[in-house]
Amino acid sequence: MMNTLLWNLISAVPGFTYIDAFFKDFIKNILKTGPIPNHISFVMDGNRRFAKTWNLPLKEGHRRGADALMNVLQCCIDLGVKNMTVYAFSIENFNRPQPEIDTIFDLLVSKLAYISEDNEFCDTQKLRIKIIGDRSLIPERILQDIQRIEAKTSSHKDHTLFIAFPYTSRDDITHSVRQIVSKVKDGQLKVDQIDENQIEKNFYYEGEAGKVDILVRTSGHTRLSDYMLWQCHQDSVIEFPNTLWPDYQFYSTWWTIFKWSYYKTLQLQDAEVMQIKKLSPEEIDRRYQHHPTYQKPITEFTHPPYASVVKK
Amino acid sequence: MVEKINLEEVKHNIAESNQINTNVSPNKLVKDQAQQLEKEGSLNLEVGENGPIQCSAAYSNESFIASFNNIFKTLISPRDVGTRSKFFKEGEHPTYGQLVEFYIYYLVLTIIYIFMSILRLFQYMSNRSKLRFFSVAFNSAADPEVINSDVNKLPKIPRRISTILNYKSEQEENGGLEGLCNDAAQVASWCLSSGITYLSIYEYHGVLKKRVPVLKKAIYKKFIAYFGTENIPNFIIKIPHLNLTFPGSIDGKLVESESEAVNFPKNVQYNIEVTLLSVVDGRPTIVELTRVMAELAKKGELKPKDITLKFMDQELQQLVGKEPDLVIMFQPFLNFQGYPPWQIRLSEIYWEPDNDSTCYAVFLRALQKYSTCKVNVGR
Repeated sequence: MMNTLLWNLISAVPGFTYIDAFFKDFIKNILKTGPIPNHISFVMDGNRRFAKTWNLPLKEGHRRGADALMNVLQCCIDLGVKNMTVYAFSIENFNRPQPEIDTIFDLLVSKLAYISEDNEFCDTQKLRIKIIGDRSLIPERILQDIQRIEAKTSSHKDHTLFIAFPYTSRDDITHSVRQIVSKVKDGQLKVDQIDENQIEKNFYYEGEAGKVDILVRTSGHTRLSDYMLWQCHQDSVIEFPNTLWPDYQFYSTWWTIFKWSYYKTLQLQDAEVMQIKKLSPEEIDRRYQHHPTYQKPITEFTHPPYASVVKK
Repeated sequence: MVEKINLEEVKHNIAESNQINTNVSPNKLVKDQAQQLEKEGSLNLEVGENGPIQCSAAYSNESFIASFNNIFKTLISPRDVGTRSKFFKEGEHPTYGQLVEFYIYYLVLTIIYIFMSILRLFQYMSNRSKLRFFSVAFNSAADPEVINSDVNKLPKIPRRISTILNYKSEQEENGGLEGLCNDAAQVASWCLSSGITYLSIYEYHGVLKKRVPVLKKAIYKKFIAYFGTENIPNFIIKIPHLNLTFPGSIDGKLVESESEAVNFPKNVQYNIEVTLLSVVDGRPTIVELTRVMAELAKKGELKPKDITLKFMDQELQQLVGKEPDLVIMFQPFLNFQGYPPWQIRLSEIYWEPDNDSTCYAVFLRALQKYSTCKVNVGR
């Protein structure tokens, strides 16, 4: 709370916005020269607690959260992150009071409509929007709007925003298994062909996006809450920052990606050194066959004349 | 609807690939598995589209000097970084101006990386001294009563605990099979002292699964050390995917072999149940289950629409076990290492940054953390 107050005070200084924007551009360019993750995923947790802390109505908390999301997205897109996923609504969230559910749905649709139609955010950033989740649970009216938005942005290729709505990871896995089983039943797939890749292909993602490089869950809960279980239980970075989602803005995003890029750089170097040990003999033969000293018989090596105390 | 499908087939298939074999030394086992994984990894190297190296970027245990050195090396030859950098647009050949710009920015990034490695050094030192402090402040003294009184101060404890242990090579301190078994036995004793009766131990390579007799002995010895010779708790070791149960000790006596188990009374009340998990319980189990379901569907015994979340949950609980309430990782950073994905839905995760030992302070702090957290599913 103190931080936010201080921040508000600083940002009131004239000319601040200009310097801030300049600085942001600068640090974005810096980070872009290093490794950049392919897929970032966010759990937007803490909107309600934010509203409570600042004595705002609940709706305002969600609205601030949506604004924060826009900042985070802008940052990710500028850095060149290809895929982003946000956890908008869990299937378990249907347990919340109806007015709140309506608020979240309306907010989501209006925000999506805004970025895809009114201010052309999607067009300028080449951003595609795709819903992952059990569509049969979405009310008809909202589903139509969402499908319209998806169709409108489907031609963009550079970035994709996946919206997990209504989504749980267990449901996703079940959906995938069901899909595979019915494919086998219809004869489209053989039993032998079932493997991890098949399961991934039949997720709501439909095989796009790949594994999650960074998963961010704000508000400090160290739980996954049924989100991306399959995608991040192996070699993903999972971050649990203590900030509430509406406070998680540009600099937090930058810092998260920076940390990832720092460790990645160290590991790239490591891997480069280790690589020769990892390669199979055939692979080494293939790669280095044109190298001048490769496979030269040892007797062909020249050496300086011998000098020894023992004569012959 | 099929109420229950026959899981024997799934279990059998998984078991085949993971034969219990006590002739191989654990070191070799780990090495073999690593090689196999590497082989698979090198296949990915050709196919993978997200860059050739699929390693986790969560943590680096490099020394300060080494990381410094590495960062300088990248500055001099940013080959890997440069070719894949998002700085240049795809398919465009960079002009000299752009290249100069790239190097200026890259220099700044490198400088920030160097500051970061200095920061990490301090962070590491502060984390380590914090851990040192905690291990003095919270000392179990290998006494169940101390542990019990520590735990009794907490408002709530988890019913099921799962822990991720790591196999360290035999050269390391507290490494090798003995070290791992010792760690497992210690955690089991702590759990029992704090009243938790279900513990699952995840070890990536499945070393423990193949060395149950050694583990049994280690736990038995540890229990004697903790609870005395007069009062040894009963325990049972389970390997869910092989459908095997190994009674560990009954009425204070160690069950050495399967044949001996017949002589003991049948309905024993076990004080603690230890379940062993490894990477095969993760994705491979789900894949195997899908295969069996597909076979059934082909024969017409199962309709695709009967595969519901509840049904899957039932089957996976049978195959792997129930969802733990708390997952404690005794490792320096957060990495699930392929822990069964279905089971970590709402589990509280606890790890201590830069910690690499299995110590009581971490265990207790995990319980303390758990006692303060509130789980509200969706609401």
